[in-house]
Amino acid sequence: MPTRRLPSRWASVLVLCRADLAVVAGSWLCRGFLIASAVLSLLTLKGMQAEQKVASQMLEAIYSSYVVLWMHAVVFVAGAALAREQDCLNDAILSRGITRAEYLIAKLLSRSLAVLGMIGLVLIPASFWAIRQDQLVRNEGGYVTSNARNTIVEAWEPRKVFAGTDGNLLEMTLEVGDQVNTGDVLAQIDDRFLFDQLETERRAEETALSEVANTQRRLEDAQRAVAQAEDAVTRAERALIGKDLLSKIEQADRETELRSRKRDLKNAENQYLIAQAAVPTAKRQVENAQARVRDARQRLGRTTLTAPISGYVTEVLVQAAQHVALGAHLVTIAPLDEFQVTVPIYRFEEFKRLRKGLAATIKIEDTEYTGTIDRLGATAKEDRWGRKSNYVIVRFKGNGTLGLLGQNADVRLVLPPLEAKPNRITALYNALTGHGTDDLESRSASVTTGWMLISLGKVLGNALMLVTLTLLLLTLLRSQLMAILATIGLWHVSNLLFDFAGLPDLSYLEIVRTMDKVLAGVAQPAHELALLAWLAGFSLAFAGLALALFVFRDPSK
Amino acid sequence: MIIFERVTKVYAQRQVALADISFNLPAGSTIGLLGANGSGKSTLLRIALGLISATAGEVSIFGQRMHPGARAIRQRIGFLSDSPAFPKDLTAIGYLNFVGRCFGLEHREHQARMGTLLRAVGLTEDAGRKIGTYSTGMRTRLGIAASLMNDPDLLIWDEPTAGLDPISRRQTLDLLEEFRQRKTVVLSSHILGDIDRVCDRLLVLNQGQLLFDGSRADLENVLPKNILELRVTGAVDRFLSAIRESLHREPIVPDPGRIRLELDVQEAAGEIVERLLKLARENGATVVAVNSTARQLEDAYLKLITEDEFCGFLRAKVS
Repeated sequence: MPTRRLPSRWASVLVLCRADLAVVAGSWLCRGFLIASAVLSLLTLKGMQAEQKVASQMLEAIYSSYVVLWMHAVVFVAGAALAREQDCLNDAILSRGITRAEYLIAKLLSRSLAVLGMIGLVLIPASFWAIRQDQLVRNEGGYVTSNARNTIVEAWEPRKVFAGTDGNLLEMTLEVGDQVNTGDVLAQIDDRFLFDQLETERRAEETALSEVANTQRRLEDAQRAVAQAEDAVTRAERALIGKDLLSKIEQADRETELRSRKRDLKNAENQYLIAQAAVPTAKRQVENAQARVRDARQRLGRTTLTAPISGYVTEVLVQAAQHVALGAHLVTIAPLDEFQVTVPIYRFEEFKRLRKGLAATIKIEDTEYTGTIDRLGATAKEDRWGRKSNYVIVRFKGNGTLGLLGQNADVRLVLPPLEAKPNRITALYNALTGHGTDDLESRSASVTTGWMLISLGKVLGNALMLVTLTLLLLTLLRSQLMAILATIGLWHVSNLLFDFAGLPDLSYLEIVRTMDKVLAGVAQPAHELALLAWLAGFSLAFAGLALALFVFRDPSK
Repeated sequence: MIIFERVTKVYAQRQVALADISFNLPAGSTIGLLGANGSGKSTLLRIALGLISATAGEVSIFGQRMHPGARAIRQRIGFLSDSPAFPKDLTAIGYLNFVGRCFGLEHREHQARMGTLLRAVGLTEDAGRKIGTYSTGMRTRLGIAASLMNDPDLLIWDEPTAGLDPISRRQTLDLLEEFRQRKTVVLSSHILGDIDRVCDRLLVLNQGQLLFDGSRADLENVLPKNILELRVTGAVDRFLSAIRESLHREPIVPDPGRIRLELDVQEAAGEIVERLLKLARENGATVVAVNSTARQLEDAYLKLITEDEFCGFLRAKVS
């Protein structure tokens, strides 16, 4: 018998794998999947870039789209694995020195590679491109800068203009963006009612003044009445002198007259007291009336609103004919050419190094402005993922450029060098490992490469699990359509299945729900790596079952 | 070379395709496999190739046990299916390239072999067309070429001449004649003439049972008689009566004007023919043609099948 050089098992697997990959490359299903997913991902990323979204938001969007939408295409790609040879497997393939195990291993490998390749071809460059948005850069001075994107240019200490009086606005011609100078009339409140009010108060004042005169006269009258009553009492008392010489009837009459004159005196004194008390009251009425007149004059004076500073109108909150209450906020004016941006600093170690007065570069599209740190935030804020960040306020001048308010700006802050000097051992360690320097891993980035890779791993792990599950169902059901439908069905109820199995985090909905946390780096690394291991484990288990089933069952043809 | 030991195949607990088959085929022989449709021929061949597993029994080829994972054995076998199927989107060249790589042939070697084989089977002009556009005969020829790519030691061909035109069929049989000297060939066919021409050993299957295992001469001995066939015109009935009276034989009349007589092996056919001619003249019949079929293979085969189907309980051989 002539000696014959037989191919190794892996050589046979490789031949089958290459043949299947050639089929995949020529398949319009796979081409369509690749083109459609690439185009949609690209459009999504460019759209989010135009909206100045951070890398974590971009990656969350495209990763979630793959997990929710494109996994269906993965199932179809895997479901077509055995279709080409289903009518000729024995005659054309297995009879040519290929075993069932080699055949199925080759299919598992080729479809997995194809799916991972098609997804990776789009997601890997897209992910690194998105991350570049947030990376640290070095400036010319060699210092590391902290780079922040998506800051909004705001006005520096804008002044709010309030209504000094209530009334209807006669006119409001201001619009946002209008330039005003100090003293310019901003608005006019209807003063006719105030004029009437002033007139009323003045008449009230006059009335009060005449009332004072009246009370003075009444006081004088009362005074005279008292004097007269006193005289009458004196006369009555004199009339009683020598009363012994009078008859009893005349005595009684004169005593009665005296008592009557005393009563009159008492009354006159009471009237005098009353008149006396009325005078200060009348005077106070006059003071009140005068105060109301002054108020009315002041209100009348506040119907004309003027600009307190020169600048741009940034808010107009009222319109003509609108009734405004006293103290209502009407317009806001931003100073000319003075702006600020609030810059988040995610790393506390970087924040500690910042000082008031440090230089900053503010880039709005292609134009750069220089500014300084005006103040450091005393508190930390939380972003939408729950991450805390400190912040600084950077002030800068716009150099007369119009239209800066509201623009998105990228801000670079120059961090002063580290103050701590390492000892010799630490310096040697740093030199060997590159640690301790301001390297590019320090960040104000929204996602690091490591977390991006973990999230990407979950997407790819899901795809691999679906490929192997589909092939398992293909070998079990021996029907392409049934296998695809069963896989998609199981995929959609996997949330319940994984919940039941005590692995709720593996369900695709949970993966999508926690994607933002993973990308933001607030998830637990050990937990995420364990999830990746579970996905790999399930994939291997499905592949093993499929292999066992395929090897121990005779093919149909 | 090929040993089947009490091989049984039951499909899905519903159909017995092979029942307790045992045989031993030596290397270098050309074996013909005969049987009606559904007799189990294709199942036997696929078990021999390891494409399907036997429910019971063992198969050995080249002295090694055959099973679905026996890739080393299958690398030395060339197989042609009864209705060859291939991936429809491939061309003949593409498929033969794939087969060559599966067998581990060097690139130059398998390119050379591919060219030679395509020419040999007459597919050179259609080699660039997709297999999905091929006719049945073209697929059979491609299957022949593919089965020879690895220069196998054992050829297992199922209905190799099916769908072929007369010229291609003759070329295929000529090829088989060549292989008789160099390879072991197992050939399954409905066309008894093909089997008769190239095979020196025969297996006859019926309903999963092995009815006959032996040489061509052994099969002929199933029929202990020669067959003499006459075409007669004229007073045929009187001639038939005369045969009964004079020769004490019962003639068989398969068609009007055709008379068949069975002769023992020891009888001299010439003398019988002479007496029959004389009887015909005497009884007003004219013998138009005389034919001695000398124990046709087809008749022996039919006899075997017929006896098997009417055996009833006797078919069960308990050993």
